[in-house]
Amino acid sequence: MGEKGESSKSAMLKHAEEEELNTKRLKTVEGEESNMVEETENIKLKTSDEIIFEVEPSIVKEMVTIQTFIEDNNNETSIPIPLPNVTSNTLRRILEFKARGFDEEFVKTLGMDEVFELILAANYLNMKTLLDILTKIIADFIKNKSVEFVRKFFNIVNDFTPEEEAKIREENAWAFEGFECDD
Amino acid sequence: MDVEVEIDRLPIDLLAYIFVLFTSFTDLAQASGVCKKWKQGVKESLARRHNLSFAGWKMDDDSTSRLVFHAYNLTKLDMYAVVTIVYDKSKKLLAES
Repeated sequence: MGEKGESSKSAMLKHAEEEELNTKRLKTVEGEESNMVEETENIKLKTSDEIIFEVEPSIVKEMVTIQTFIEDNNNETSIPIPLPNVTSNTLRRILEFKARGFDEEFVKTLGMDEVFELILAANYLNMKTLLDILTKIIADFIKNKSVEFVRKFFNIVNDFTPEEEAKIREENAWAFEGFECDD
Repeated sequence: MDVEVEIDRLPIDLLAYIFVLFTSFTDLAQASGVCKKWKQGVKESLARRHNLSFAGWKMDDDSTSRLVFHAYNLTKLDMYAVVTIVYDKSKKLLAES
C-alpha cells in the first residue's frame, strides 16, 4: 500500500514538473506583456484576432515564414510578428501538435473544418511536416470515393456543362473499368 | 459544420498538393471530374510529379499522351506493361461475338 502511495506521489510530481515545463515553453499573453521568460529568448506571434503568443525560438524553427520574417528584420524579435492569416485557436492547435511531435493519430481526431483551417495556416507558415500530414489525411479520405460522393460530402457545386462532363467521362473511361467506389 | 466554405478556401496549389499523393489514376480521374477547380488542381499535380508509372494500367494512347503532356517535370517514366486499348465499337463487338 505504501509503495502504491509513493508511486502515485512520484507520478503527481512528474506531472507537475511537466506542466511547469509546458508553461515555460509556451506562454500565451492576451493584451499584456509577460515577464516570465527573458524577452531575448522569446518570439512574439500576433494572430489575426490580436492575441499575442510568446514562444521559444526552437518552437518556431519549422515555421519558415516566421524565420524569413525575422531574418528580413535583422533578427529583431522584440516586436510581435503579425500572422494575419492565422487565428489564435489555429496557432494554439499548431503549437499543441508541435509539442506532441506532430502526432498523426491526434490529428485524425480533428473535424474536417479544423483540418482545412490548419492546412491553410501550415501553408501560410510554410510548415512542410504539418502540411504533409494534413494533406495526407484529406488525400486518404478522397481516395476510392466517387465524384458524386465527393460533391455531396463537401457540398461542391458541379460547374461543368453537361457537354464538358460527358467529355471528361469519355476521356477518363479507361480509369473506371471495374471500379468500385466507397459511397 | 459547413465543409463547403472550408474546402472552397483551399487554393488550386493546395489542391494540387493533395492530389500529388494519389497513386491511382482512377482517383485522379475521379478528382478531375468533381469541378473545374479540382480539374485544374489535378493538372497542376501532374506538373509537380517527377515519377509516373503506367505499369498495369489499361489505357488508350490519347489518355496516356494527355497525362504525360501535363506531367512536364518528369524525371522517370515507367511505361512497362502498359496495355493500350482502342475504344472501337466494331472491335468490341468482334471480341464479344
